[in-house]
Amino acid sequence: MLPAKPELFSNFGEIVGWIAIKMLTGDRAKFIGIVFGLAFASALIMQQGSIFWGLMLRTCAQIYDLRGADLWVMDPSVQFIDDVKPMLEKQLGLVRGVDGIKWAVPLYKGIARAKLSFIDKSTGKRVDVTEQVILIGLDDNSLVGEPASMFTGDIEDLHRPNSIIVDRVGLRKLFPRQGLNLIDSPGQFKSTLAALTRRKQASPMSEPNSDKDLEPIGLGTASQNSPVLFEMEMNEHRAEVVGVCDASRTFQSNAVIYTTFSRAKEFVPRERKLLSYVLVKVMPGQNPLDVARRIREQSGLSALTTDQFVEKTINYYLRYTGIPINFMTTVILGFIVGTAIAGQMFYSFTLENIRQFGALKAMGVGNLRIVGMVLLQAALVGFLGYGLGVGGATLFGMANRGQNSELAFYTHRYLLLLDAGATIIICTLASLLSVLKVILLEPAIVFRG
Amino acid sequence: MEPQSATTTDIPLGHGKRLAVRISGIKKQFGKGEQAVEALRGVTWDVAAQEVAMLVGPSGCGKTTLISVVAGILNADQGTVSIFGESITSMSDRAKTRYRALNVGFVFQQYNLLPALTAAENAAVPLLIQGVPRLKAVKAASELLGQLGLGKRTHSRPNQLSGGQQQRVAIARALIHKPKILVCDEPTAALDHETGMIVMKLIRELAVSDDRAVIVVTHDNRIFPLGDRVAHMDDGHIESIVDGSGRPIPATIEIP
Repeated sequence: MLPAKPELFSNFGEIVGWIAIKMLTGDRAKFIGIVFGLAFASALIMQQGSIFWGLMLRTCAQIYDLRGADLWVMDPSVQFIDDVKPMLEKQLGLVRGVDGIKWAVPLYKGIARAKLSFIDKSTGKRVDVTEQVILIGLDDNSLVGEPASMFTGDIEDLHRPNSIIVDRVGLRKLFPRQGLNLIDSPGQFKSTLAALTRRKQASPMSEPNSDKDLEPIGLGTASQNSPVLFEMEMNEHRAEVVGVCDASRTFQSNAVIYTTFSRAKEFVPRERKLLSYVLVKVMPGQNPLDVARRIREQSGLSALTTDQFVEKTINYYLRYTGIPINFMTTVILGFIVGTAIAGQMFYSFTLENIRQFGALKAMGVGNLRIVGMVLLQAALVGFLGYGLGVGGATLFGMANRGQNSELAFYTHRYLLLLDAGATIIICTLASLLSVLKVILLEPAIVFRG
Repeated sequence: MEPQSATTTDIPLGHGKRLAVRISGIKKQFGKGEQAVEALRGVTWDVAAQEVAMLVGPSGCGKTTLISVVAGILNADQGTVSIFGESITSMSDRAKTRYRALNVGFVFQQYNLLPALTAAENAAVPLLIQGVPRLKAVKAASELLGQLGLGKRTHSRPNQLSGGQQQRVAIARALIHKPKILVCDEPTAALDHETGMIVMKLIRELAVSDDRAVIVVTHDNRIFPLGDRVAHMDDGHIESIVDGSGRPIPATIEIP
């Protein structure tokens, strides 16, 4: 009947693994409860972490969007991308004189006010709405820093007089009720926009209970062959939108308007200093860091690679805004709640099985194995909780992703590791009491009725 | 590693019996100072193989402490316990754990079956602890359950079995690894009289052998006649020992 005695205690995995998992999954409600407790903590950490990371990326989205250059040259006191400290245009010449530079072009970046005209459908009166926009002035000739992709229109049309390009997400700020930013087809976008801006007088239609139901009207008459989509006014200068581009969402979520450097200067009040940044391309074979050092030495300006500028911008937000503390608070809360839920349920699970653990100890299962069983159980629920939590947070992120989403969500691989580490710590803390309980457990407990 | 063996020091008693358990002067105290409770006050008792030895007495008299010491799950303060000539009181805790895994079978009052395992899996646990592959262990356990009349309930979980059936699974678990000593703690306490008698008869039938000691702790005087040696315990020591017919016998067995 009984097989010959094998090597004693050879199947550590059998007793520790199989029985431990059977015990754990045997009580479905408790098992699911522990897993969900951990999944909640893991999801919260991942979700908040991803939103935090997404926000941080938005703070430097324009650094990534303005591509093509190796170095950003700026006033030494600039702390982040939006902290523009304008320079005199002659400093562009200073930069251009540094050895190892292939080209250096000016960049304007600032805030401008765009005036758009609408018809109030309830009163039939014309209403002018002023919106704050982020104005980017690209080098007139090269258009270095141009948008990565155009939704509609041609970037070369920026060479036309008065032309500007608007980012698609920004349309939501400019035309909040028309949903232009939600249209995915360029053809449909154009026809919808044309229909909206064709009217030059009050619409007879009026929606009840609409406080301010505004419908856009075109300021000029766009001919069939014209690339002009609609018009607006900036600093009392006419601006013709000749294209819509896809740009990353910015931290402020204002519309981003691209135009040429010289035109940008017209769209903002006149100032002595209007050079925001100088974008530099280094000669082939030149180390950008060496060139940056030379620029600093010769011009007294700061020169940073894209990665350095991103880092500087993120560091500023980390150091001088309350964002990290606010997110960290939520993450810590998730950590504590997760530990409390999982720990309480796991300990209660151990207590419920304490006689079984006692029986196993009496039958010759040593402390090491019993602790191994508890740790394996903790590892299993931790693994499942982590997987479900990360999966849930990722689904949440995927469901809310896209250019038009308000949600800043980016899951960096480090976040996965951080979340895994947090889950391991939660499981360790949760199982600590249980481990102590089973270590100190007297097997004689099994003889108590 | 070789399984531990005690056969070289076995002591024959004549009539085909051997001395299985020798308990000499066991003392055990819990707590210290004024709070100290002397649970065992120098217990001396011998149990032979091929017998069912019963330990009876009022609650708190030290029965549970004594069988815990005999089973190697509690250390005595003083005295020795040897099983088939091998002293377990001198073993380290680690060695005792191994000894229990190989040589001790337990039947508990509350069965203490693992609720998530089937009857066969529960009965196979001691084999798994010893290192027998799961399928082989469960097969062997199923066969033993068949002998205990549970052939059709091998896949049932404890909560699907009656108290008597659960106790039979516990008996199978206690015997599956052919232990040298079987310790039964109130095996009939949670059962009705009829089922209790069936269980005790099964223990007699299957457990009693020439290389095993069977010690049953019980309050149930209706099963006393099923014992070959009944030790009455009170206040930490054995007061009297009688045979199955109630005739007084000495606490120790004379070695020829």
